Amino acid sequence: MTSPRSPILTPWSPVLGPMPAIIDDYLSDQNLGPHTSQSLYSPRKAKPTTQLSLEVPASNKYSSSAASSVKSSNGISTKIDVGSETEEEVLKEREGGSVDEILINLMNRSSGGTSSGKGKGIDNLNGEEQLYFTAEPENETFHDGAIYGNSVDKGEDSDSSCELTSGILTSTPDGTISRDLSVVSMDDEYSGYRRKYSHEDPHSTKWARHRKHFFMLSSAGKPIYTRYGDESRISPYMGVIQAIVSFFADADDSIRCINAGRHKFVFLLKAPLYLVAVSRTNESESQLRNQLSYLYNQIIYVVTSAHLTKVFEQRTNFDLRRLIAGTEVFLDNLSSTMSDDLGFLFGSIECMRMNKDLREKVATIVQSIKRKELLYAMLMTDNKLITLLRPRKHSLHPSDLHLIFNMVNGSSGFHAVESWIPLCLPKFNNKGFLHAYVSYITSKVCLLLVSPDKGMFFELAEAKSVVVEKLTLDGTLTFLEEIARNDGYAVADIGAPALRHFLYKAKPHVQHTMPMFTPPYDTPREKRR
Amino acid sequence: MSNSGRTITESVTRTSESTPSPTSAKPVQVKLVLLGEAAVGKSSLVLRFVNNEFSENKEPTIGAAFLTQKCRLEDNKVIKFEIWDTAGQERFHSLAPMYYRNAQAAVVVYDVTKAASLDKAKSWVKELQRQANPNIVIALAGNKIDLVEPQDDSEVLSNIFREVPTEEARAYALEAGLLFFETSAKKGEGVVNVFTEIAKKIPVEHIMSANRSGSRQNILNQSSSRIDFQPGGLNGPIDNCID
Repeated sequence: MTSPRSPILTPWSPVLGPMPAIIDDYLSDQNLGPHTSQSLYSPRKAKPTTQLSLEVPASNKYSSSAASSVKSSNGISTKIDVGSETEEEVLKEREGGSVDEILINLMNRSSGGTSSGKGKGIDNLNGEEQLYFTAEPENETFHDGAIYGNSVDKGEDSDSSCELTSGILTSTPDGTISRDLSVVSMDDEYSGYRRKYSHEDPHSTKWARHRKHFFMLSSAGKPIYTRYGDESRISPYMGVIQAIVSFFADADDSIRCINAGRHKFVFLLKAPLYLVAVSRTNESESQLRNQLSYLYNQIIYVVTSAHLTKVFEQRTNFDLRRLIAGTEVFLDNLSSTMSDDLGFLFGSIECMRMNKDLREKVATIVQSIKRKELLYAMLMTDNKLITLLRPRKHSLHPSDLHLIFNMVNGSSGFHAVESWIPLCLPKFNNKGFLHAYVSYITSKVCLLLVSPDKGMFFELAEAKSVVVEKLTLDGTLTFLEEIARNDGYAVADIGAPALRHFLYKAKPHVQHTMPMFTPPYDTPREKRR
Repeated sequence: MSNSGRTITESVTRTSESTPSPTSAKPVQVKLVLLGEAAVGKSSLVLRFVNNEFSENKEPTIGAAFLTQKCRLEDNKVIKFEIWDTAGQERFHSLAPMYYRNAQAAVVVYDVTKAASLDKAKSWVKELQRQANPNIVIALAGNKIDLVEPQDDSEVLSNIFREVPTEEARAYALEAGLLFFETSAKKGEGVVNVFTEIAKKIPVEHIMSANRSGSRQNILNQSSSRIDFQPGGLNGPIDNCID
């Protein structure tokens, strides 16, 4: 019951090297207890197929015995271990005990229909108790199998080191997936648009191999969004998330983060929504949480927080996917740009590089359409701002601007038409809609006019034609288009020798700049560094 | 907000005609709205008509998109369609009246491979007949017929089947007093026909006399005449629907 604190479970940074070497390191460095090392080198027992899930070491609920620390909002660093270090197999060696009960509690308490899980068995391994759940009635095991499967395998036999996720495959007993019937596939009914990843099977190796997952669910456990795969097929996982969250909620606490080996699980609880990031990208907890709040804001952007609260007050099990149907493409786009656009990290905006006089000239032209029904006017290209017109009293928050950029870049539908779009800027007013007139005035340059009044389309369309006329008059527009096409500069242009790359954020202006990635740093893989 | 709603519709029903002769080359402006369930192909239909383009796997429309297209009739009348392509998602339903109020024409689109989309179309027709302009010309368009056309190479058996028989929809259209078409935005079949038939049925003289007293004509004319600055608009076949 009261296992001694094992030194191996002190926090450690994610390790990337081949497993056996690491284990050796650990063994020598950390001076592990005899039973641990023994197990590492003991012949492997027949691997239980479905049970590799929430393996929990013996520890009290609030004991701090694990490498996987679970932070909660009370500031108590509540630590439970969710089988994270299965790669070391150490956990298997630890005594089962009270945690078994905790887990069983946890599963039973989860109120959602999907996770009526029960601890099904206790496996005796090397004399130590181990808790597992069978995969038959509920799919929690799949989840954990999917997430941890990689490490499990690596630990087990070192020769399958590249086989990242075979854990999942083995953990599906017969391929039958008990789907939550209350969740209807929205794919057929609501969106004709095929999302890039929407047809990935969440039980496949491919699905589990993505570096960063985002999930969004309602507090009733209904899936709302997943970055990869089809929402209606991930409901079992949503059950697990809900179970974990409500476990902590019962203690008037809220879960913030689980560190599990190379994976980080970050939770953002914004009732009535739960957002979870599962990532092995080495991003920090706060970075991931920041990204989750962007996703949350994107939801607000579409439905407003007032409406969101209302629909869930009326029916707690409301299926939000109906309301956000058609905007998954923006969530997808946001998820992927957040990973490589540093503006999200810095909370700043990148502006298009141009001559000061030219920018002032453009700004004057845009200013000339100032009228009382116009709240914001902005001229932009891709994800860079050219100029922004705003009322003195209402600055535009960078995160709102990011959402606007995300909308314009997320859909190709704006190019041929003039669009009139209701949108909610969460930092401006999260309760009401503004209306945006979006029109590409050249193939790269987009003019966006925001009005609080939904009947102002034609007034803004007229304002746009004034801007276009003035910009065309002296060829400024063609010039802008040209700059937009050849945007970006090399680090060599700065003239600082030996400088490889830099980032500069001007805090008072919430703007940042950086040169283009030049070879050899210009491949996606290198950019990630 | 209700005031503003009126502004938009007033501004659209304006005509730019200072000379009301129907035979002049000056176009008569007709406000047309596209309605229908999500993903039936409203945007594809209108993009086929305006730009003669089709893109597979198009992102869903959000809010509404505005496009214009001129159309010359047999008697040399030119009609300029001002098309509001609305989003089909449920949450935009409440905004729809803003677009169909005072519209002279509506195209209600359904997907021939989805029976439910015809039901939605019927409810749109009902709503239009109850709340829109009483003289509105409504066309019912069954889109995506390319999916159910027999393939040339019979080895390819598509697993998509027609769920709405032509005759059933035609009978309904007849009963409800609608124009009826089946279209394929992908192949361009029947698309232009929808708009020219509507144009023929529009009581042009009536519109022109009704709108002769527009108060804010000048400003609004400017805005609509410059709409063709759009990148797509320039490439588009401007008078592609000459009969």
